[in-house]
Amino acid sequence: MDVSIKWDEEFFICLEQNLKQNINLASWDEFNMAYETVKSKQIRDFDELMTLDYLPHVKFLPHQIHSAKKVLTMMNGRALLADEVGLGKTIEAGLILKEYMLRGNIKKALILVPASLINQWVNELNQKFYIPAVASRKKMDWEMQEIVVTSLETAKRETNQKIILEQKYDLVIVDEAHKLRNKKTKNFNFVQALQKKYCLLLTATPMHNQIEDIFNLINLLKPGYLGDYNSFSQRFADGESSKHYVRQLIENVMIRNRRTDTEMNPSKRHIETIWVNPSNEEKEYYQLLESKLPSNSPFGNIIYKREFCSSIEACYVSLQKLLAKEEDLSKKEVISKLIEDITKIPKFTKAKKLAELLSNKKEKFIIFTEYHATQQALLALLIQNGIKAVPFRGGFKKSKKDYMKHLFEHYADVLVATEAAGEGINLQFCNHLINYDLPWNPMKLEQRIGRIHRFGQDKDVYIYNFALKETLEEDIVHLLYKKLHLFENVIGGLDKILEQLNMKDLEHMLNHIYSTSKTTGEAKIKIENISTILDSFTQERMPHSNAN
Amino acid sequence: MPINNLKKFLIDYFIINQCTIIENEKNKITVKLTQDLDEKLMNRPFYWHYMKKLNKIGEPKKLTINLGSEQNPQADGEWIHFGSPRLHQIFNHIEEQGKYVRFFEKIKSSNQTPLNPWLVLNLKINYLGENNKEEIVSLGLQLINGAIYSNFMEKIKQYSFDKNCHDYCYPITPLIKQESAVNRVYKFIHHYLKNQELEWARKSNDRLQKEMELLEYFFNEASSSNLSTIDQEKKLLKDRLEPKIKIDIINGGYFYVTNTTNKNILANA
Repeated sequence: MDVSIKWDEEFFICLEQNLKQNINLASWDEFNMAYETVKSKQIRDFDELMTLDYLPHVKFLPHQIHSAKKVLTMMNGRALLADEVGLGKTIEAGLILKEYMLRGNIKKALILVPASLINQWVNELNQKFYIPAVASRKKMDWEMQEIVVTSLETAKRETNQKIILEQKYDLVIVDEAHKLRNKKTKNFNFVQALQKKYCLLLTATPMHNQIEDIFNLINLLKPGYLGDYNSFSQRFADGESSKHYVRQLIENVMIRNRRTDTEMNPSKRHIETIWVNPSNEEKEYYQLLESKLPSNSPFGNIIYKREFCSSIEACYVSLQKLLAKEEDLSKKEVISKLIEDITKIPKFTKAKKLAELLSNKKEKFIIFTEYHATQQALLALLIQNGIKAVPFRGGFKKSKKDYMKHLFEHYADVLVATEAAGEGINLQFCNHLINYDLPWNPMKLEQRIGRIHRFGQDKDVYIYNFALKETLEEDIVHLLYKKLHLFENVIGGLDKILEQLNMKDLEHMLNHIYSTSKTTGEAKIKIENISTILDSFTQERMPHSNAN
Repeated sequence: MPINNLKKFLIDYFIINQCTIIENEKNKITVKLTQDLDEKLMNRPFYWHYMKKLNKIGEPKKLTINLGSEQNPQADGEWIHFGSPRLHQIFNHIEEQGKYVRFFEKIKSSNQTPLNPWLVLNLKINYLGENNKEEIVSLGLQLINGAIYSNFMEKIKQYSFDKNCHDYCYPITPLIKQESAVNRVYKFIHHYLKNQELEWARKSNDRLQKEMELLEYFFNEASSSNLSTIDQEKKLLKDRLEPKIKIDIINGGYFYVTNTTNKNILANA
């Protein structure tokens, strides 16, 4: 077998020149030292990670080392890192980047992450891995900078895109790569067009609703391999031989560690459901919503009831909107009356309960709500009670997000966040979380809890679920959070179960049940049925918990 | 052979570079840098530029190094360990500093002494493919008779050498010129590589073939518009997986040694 050999010929030219001019010649000690230095840096074994010797201050977990080795030796640096949330995908990516840099395979890398995570990545790479990564700036020298962290949005911008696409990157990392699931998007096309030797895609949810999602991601790693989806699925149905190739392909590119498979000893979760008994006024109003509110949408008045369970303000805002849209005069009248009535309700019991809970706590809390209006109301309430609170929303600019996080970490007691904040901030310094209202989609819940219960959290995590009795919330708590033990188990397992049961879109299903059931009793029975099915599954698959 | 005594290594480095060791404790050293080293290591070009502009003599910094086995926020000084950027900055400087040489053996005698010429080259062979590996080879080529010996650093480390030729010594002019000497070294190494176990290259090549097959399978029915993609993919696969060897020269140059030393080296082969 022939192997090509290339020599460093420049050395001899320089040697001759330096000797002639008698310059740059080393002393005997310097000569010996240089030799010893190179020897000490020598890359010896193919199978050991050199990084581990180089970063004695970082304690890597066994599954992280294993993943990195697999990507380096078996996958040739093109991989989909699809670990469950909180197992340290960032660490794995850093480990791979560092190892390649130490071995001299990577000089130039582009790291694409959500804007809110840029600083975190830069800090982590610099401090933990001693990788001199920089965040992209307004005026950026894409040619000179070697390790750059930026967002897809920035990279795609017209002024940047052209020059970035001209660069030859040794490695491209995309964090939260599920944004690339759809191959019709600009994001997808941009990442596909990047010149890259190695490529790492990071996501906890490689597949959303359909297998096509995963194929599109694989397409980025192994361009064109799957052809287009149609011809692929046709061929996939053809027979065993193609299945073999497809399986080989997926195994060749994807790593998915699950929490249960790892040796990680996670901090414990303590869950407490805080039941709130609605006041008489609240009960009456809830009945009114159920009986009086004219329903236009397929899901009837569920949305308003859910909002009411969250806060008077959330419901009020929506009713106002409904009123503005409504043209039928008699209906308009009913809505106006409802709006009038809602303003008469004295202080909301749930809010009182929250203030009570927080008043004698010293720890930091993060409060999640689904609704913007509730967020505003809670902020006002907390500040009235002398509790320092800051808001957080997905729509904030990156700098504002960083600032709010900073305020929360150093000055404030409470962070009130809406759903969209789920992605993109890590708040391990906080270990108390309140679900002021409950999302019906288990994935959203995973995102929420994932903010504090993740890799790097060394304290036990406390989760408080607020639920209004005798409302929808009672059913939901009963189904999702008691039967499914959703809080005790990380949802990756549930993900699988729902997939198998073909019940991926639980939220939609619940909405459907409520809107098609004629009575509350009927809805309850239907939900009970689902929960029995789920229950039998979870019993065999998940370890039991002792939470209340 | 990793550096097993980092502290000694660093102290040697600073002494070689004429710095003063101010403090030398168990896990901590403090040195007063020279201007030269300050410019090389401390990343403050503006300060030095400014000082030169003003015709002033700059004040080199002190550098305190903490060599504990773990990071200790209380300890003052920079924590230096095998992966710290500072150490790699120092490594780079050392490598650059010790690259080209011309040495004359030190002697005590005052008799007229002839010195025999050698070309010494320390090579790093990079085996590139699925995974990378490096091998370090030290060669000496006698420039009169053309004999080549490996493991050369081991053979000469007991002697001392000087950059300048001793007054009573005279170097013998090499019979073999540099160009021809270099060619002999090439041949020697190529021969060595040819007789080597090629397991790594075969593995890498197998992997390449497997990937190519997979590529062909998924592309075989693809439309012609995909032809450029498949070619590009093939090229990328080749770049990444095709086994290759690259040879760097760590350092080297001419050594002039006494007849006795010459004989000892030849006898030790």
